[in-house]
Amino acid sequence: MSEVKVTDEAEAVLRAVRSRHDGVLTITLDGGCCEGSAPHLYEDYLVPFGAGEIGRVADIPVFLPREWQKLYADAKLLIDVVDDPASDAMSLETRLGKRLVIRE
Amino acid sequence: MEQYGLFIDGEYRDAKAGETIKSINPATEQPWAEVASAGEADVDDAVEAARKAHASGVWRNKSYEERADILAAVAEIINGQAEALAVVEAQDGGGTIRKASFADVPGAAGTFEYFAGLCRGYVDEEEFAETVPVASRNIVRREPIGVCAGIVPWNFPILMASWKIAPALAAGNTVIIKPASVTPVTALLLGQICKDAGVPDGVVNVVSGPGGVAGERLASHPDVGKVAFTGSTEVGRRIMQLASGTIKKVTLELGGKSPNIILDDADLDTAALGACYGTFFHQGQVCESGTRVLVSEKQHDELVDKMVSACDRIQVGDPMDMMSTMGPMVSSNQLDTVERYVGLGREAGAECVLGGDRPDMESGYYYNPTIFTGVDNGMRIAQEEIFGPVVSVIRYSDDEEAVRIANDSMYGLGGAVWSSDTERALSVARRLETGTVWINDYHMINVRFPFGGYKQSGVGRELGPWGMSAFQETKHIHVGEDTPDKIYFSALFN
Repeated sequence: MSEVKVTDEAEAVLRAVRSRHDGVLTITLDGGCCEGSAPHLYEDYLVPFGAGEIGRVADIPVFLPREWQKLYADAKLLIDVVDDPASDAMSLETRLGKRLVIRE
Repeated sequence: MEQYGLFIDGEYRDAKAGETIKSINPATEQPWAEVASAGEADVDDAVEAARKAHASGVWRNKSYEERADILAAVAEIINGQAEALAVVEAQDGGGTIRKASFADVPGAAGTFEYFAGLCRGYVDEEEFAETVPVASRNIVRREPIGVCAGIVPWNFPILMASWKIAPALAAGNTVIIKPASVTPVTALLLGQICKDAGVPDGVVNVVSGPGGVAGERLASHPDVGKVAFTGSTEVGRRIMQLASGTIKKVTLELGGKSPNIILDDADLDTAALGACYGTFFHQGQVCESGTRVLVSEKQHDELVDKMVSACDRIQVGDPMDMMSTMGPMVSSNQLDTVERYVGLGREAGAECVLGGDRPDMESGYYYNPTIFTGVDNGMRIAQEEIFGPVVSVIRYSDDEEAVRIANDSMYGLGGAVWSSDTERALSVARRLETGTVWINDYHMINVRFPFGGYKQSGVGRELGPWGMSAFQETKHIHVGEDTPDKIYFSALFN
């Protein structure tokens, strides 16, 4: 079973984002290309068909796309955060100059 | 430090909130430029400038010949400033000066030249006489969409901006470009270049700013009719969701994990070079990189030996040095991603036969060309896009299996087939589920031909007449006979 945890720093950022948004928050793990594979934190996100919830961090569900579930079957994922004032991800924490990243 | 403003309505200006982003030179890890960072209000201003310019007819009412002259003038100015632009590009993104001088800047000029050529003699109306179901004249017209947003990545900044601006202008649209936040400068310069070439104010606007603010606003704004995006699949998915609010047209050119298939009759000396070129060019930060090299069991060892030897001729170093053929990764985040995947590859049992480490440099986000063998296509390093100088060599037993492995991917952007038998290579190429296939070549994107992805590599096509169509609406005008004798009205009237 894949498993997802969060660092204290990332959890604090998630809570800061939560306090700024009223909608439903979702994290999806995806990426590649220019943004790197990383968590993406969205408000009122339409979760793609077949994406599965692999856990919750700071009360926010974390989804894996259908295509990745087999690949990540045994993955132990840790969601961390870095300072990144120049991210082009549309992930909500970027508005705070932060970027969620995966450690494993 | 150099300062650059947003380019809105024909002039450079600061962001309303006074926010800026510093662009880090990836070779020195030091900021070298400070650019205005657009907030939502700045994006709204740019959209309004573009909307007004479109409504005024100042661009869409120009003849195709006039548009062609101006697009050709843009190309000429880019060529005139080529050296300076190449230096900016190398400092901003860490690509080598060799790449900037021979690929990015001439490619940008060539894109404007090509779409200028497409405008010359362009016919935007076709007429068809019909008798079925009734006698009628039928006119099919190509019209501009209106305000088009182009959101571009950091790997080929001026070239990707040109891929959006040139066809959009050729088709008669107005444009807002959002460059990547780590490489904003050449796109901002392109704003003034367009103006100097004769593009009226408000027709081309450039707003640097974070994707989560400026990009999101552009993708959502009701006055934007089309979004053309190049970048990651996940951001593309989000843009598609945001664009759905007002049913915007979208073109998405997204990630890839492209197969580079060496058939067992290929000339291995050339194929080995092609396998390395396909992955290590621009540090592997290229969406169509051939990051899965598929080779037959019997040629595997020889190919790998030749690839390892070929890498002796790659010089990782200062991007400003004309002898460097690989510069640094674009950012520390990108470097972290590469290191994480190399670790995952080792953990999964793949063998790292070259690289897997960083060169000894005083500064810069450098990473060595890295070759993994013993890779199974089901491993994460074979399925996920690393976007770094990491190639996975995968064995296959026959052509059938090569095709199956090649297509076993959520992506479908590029790919290649190497063979001394063109017909055999073509039969493999025809079966690949990807938007571009090169035979005995790699990275040969041609402005005259369509580029884009199957599956989760994208929607729509850029370049060539297909790329211009992506910036056009199609209108059918039916001219009925001017007669009271319309028998089909009897469907309603007794």
